[in-house]
Formats: sequence, C-alpha cells, structure tokens
Amino acid sequence: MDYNLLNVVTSKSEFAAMFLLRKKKYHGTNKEIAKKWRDCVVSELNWTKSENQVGAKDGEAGGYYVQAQGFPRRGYMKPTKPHEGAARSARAAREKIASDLAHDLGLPLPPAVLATRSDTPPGCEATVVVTLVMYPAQHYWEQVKAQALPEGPGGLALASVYSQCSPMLPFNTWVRQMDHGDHPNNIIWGYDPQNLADSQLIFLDYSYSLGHDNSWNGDGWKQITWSPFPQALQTHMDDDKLIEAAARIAGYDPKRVDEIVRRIPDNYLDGAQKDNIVTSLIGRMPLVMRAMEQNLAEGRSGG
Amino acid sequence: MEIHSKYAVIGYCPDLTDPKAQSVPLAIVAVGEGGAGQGFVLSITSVSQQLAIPELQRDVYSAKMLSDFQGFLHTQIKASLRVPNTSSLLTELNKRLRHTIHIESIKDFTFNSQEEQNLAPEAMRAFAHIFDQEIVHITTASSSATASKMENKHGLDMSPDISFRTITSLAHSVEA
Repeated sequence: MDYNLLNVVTSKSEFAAMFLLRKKKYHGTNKEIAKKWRDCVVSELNWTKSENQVGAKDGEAGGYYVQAQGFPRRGYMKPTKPHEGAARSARAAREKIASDLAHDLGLPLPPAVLATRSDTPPGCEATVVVTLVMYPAQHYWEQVKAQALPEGPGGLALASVYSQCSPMLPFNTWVRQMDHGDHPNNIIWGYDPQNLADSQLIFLDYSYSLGHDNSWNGDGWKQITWSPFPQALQTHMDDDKLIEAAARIAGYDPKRVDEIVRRIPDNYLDGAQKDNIVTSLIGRMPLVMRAMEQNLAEGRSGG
Repeated sequence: MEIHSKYAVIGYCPDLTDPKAQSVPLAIVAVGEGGAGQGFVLSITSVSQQLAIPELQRDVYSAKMLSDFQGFLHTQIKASLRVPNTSSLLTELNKRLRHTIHIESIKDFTFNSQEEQNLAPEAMRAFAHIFDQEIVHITTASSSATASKMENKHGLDMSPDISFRTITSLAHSVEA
C-alpha cells in the first residue's frame, strides 16, 4: 500500500466532500429549487411568517419572510397588504410569470412559486407568491452603487459583474418592467461569503410588469419603451450581451409563453388577462430585438 | 423636560437563506425632538461589536461596508431625510436597511433633559445606556474573550463611537 498516495487520495476526497457540502448548502440548492419551482405552479407547502424578518416591514406590497416545514430555505411572500383592484393587478401571477420566463432565459430573477396565504386578513389577497431568498448575504443596490469601483483587479471584476446584467435590459423591456431605474431597492447584490465567486445582482419585483397598467390593451403592446436601467449598469453595458439576449427572447418558443401564462389558475389571473399577456409577450418578442438594434445603430446604449 | 424619541436597533444577519438564522445587534440609531423643535439624530456603533461576530469577519464585503459604520449610517440617514417629521425618519430608514444589514426593531424611548437648547449630553448619556442594554449586553457573554483578544492584539479603541447630529430641516440637511 502506498500510504502517501492514500493520503493524497484521502485529502482529495475530503476536499471534494467539503467542496460539495459547501456548494450544496447554497448554490446547488438554488439551481435545484429553481428547476422545481419552474415546474410547479402553486406550492403545496404551508408557508408561515419567519420570526426573524431582517427588516422587512415596509415594502410597497407589504411582503414578509416566510418558511415552511420540511423546506430548508427562507422565502419572501407578497403581496400581503390590501390593494384596490387586486384581481386586476394580479401581482402574484405577474411575479411568477416573469420568474419562469427568466428561468428559461437564464436571467437573475429569484425562483417563484404561487401560494395560498393562510390566515388572510380581511381585504388582503390569499393568492400570493413566494420568491426564494437566494444568497446568505444580500445588499440593496443603493448601498452597492454608492461605492466607487476600486482601482485595480477588484474594480475590473465589479465592472464585469455589472456588464453581466446587460441581458436584463431587453428582458425588462420585453416584460415592461419600468421600475428598475435607479430605484434603491429593486436590485440586490447577493453572494455567498464562503465563496465570493458565487455572486450576482438579482432583479426583484415584477408585480407591476406585463402591462398591469392596461398599457398592453388593444395595440398598446406594440409600443416598445426601453425599460429604465441604473446608470452604473448602463456605463458597463455590454452591447454584444444585450443583442444576444434580445435574440434569445426573439427566438423563445411561443408555446412556452403560452404554457407559462395559461397554467396560472384563474383565481390568480383571469382568462382575459392571460389572453392579453400571451398575445403581448409573443408579439413583442421580435419588436424588442428590433428596438435594441435600432438604438445601438443610432449610437445609444443602455437605455 | 421630557424628550420623546425613537430608536432603531441595527442588526446583522449572517445567513438570510436560513429560516432559523438569528440577527446580531450591531448599532443604535435614535431620533428625537426637543421642546424648541430642535431635532437630533444619534448613532452609536462599536468596533468591538463588529469584531465579536465571527460570521462578519468572514463576510468581507459586509465588513468593508461597516468599516466606516458611522459614515454608512450617515449616508442612509441623509437619504431618508425626505420625511416631514422625526418620528417617521426611522420608518423611512427601515426601507433602506433590510437584508443582511437591517433594522431589527424600532422602539419608543423617553428621557429627561435639563437643557432644552442642548440635548446632546443628556441624549448621549441616555442612549449609551440603551446601547449597553440592547447590544453590548446581548453579545458580551459570548464574545468578550474575542473582543478582548482583538484589543490586545491590535490595540484598537474598543469604546463605542457616538455621533450626535442636530437636524435643522428635515427636508434639507443633517448638520454635524
């Protein structure tokens, strides 16, 4: 027996086990959960409010952190505040649709699953959505952007992270998410402190996308308005990534749009709105590409 | 005279994905108004408090943000100064402090001040006591050895860092 060799093998095995354990804890489960939640429409878990709310008190939709027995991770449930015209707004359904589309396109939105809120207070919706809290550490965009890019390799790395967000501009334009300009809270930076390479900017809050404001009624969906985009991300826009993402959207299978939208139960999104969203999303797919190309041809980049 | 104020406990959560994760209190931000309509914002942080949290030492990015904790809080407070009165300032601040570094709780607190025009000494004394109760008291038992070690090793100033600022106009500025 070659003991040195055995030691090497053992330490390599241990290393691999440690590596897998660490990856398993966060990143691996992110992917696994994302896949499961993409396949699932309404969660069967009983979500309850987490004791530690880490400051969640005052979001526009009044969301809060939740957990469920047998599920190892924390989620964020919304909407939880009363809202006039809740059925028309269908905020939970919009969040779920945007998340599923982003999953298929490999874009950084949290996985989402519809849920039924237990103990719903009067005036509030029982039809809610739970999004996955993706990273152990997360900071608001406002806090991230306030920091100047450091000189040297750190600054280059951060600029690269910013440029990775370029595909989000055509995506937001496609689904008409108009609240990602320099909104302080709708983008967060998440990372695993044990593995800083596992880090990304995550785009939140699609409750008011997909023509929620009737802007897609009639022929309104044909109007392509560039989604507002944070200045720091515009500065580091990668036009190739932007066009590539627009091309992926243009080439996205319309049947999948149909499947993602129409499988939403009617009590989350009524039939007429489903028709409107399907028609609009499919119709806008080539238009987004055209708008991106046209704007780049005119020398404008990044909205 | 009685000064009615509110204070927020700022906490750090080492793992947002874990439903069981507890937050560790780090700092206090207090706001109030004297009888002459003079507002104040007071914040208390402590280097030793941060050093006592092992997870924070491993989270280099959060640690970097907190390396100038008073500066960080001042930026967030300034950005929150669009509210009409001091009592809603902490609610506004709460919108900016969520996730890893967040507001754990907001509480009412009343203290007495002899001097209407100069609240600073009384306020600092009162909230230093609150800081001891809400923050140092909670983590000292588990962390005093670590903090003491760090003090000896690095010769750091372990006393709380108190910042007191008066508010002349909520709509415009916080004065140092």
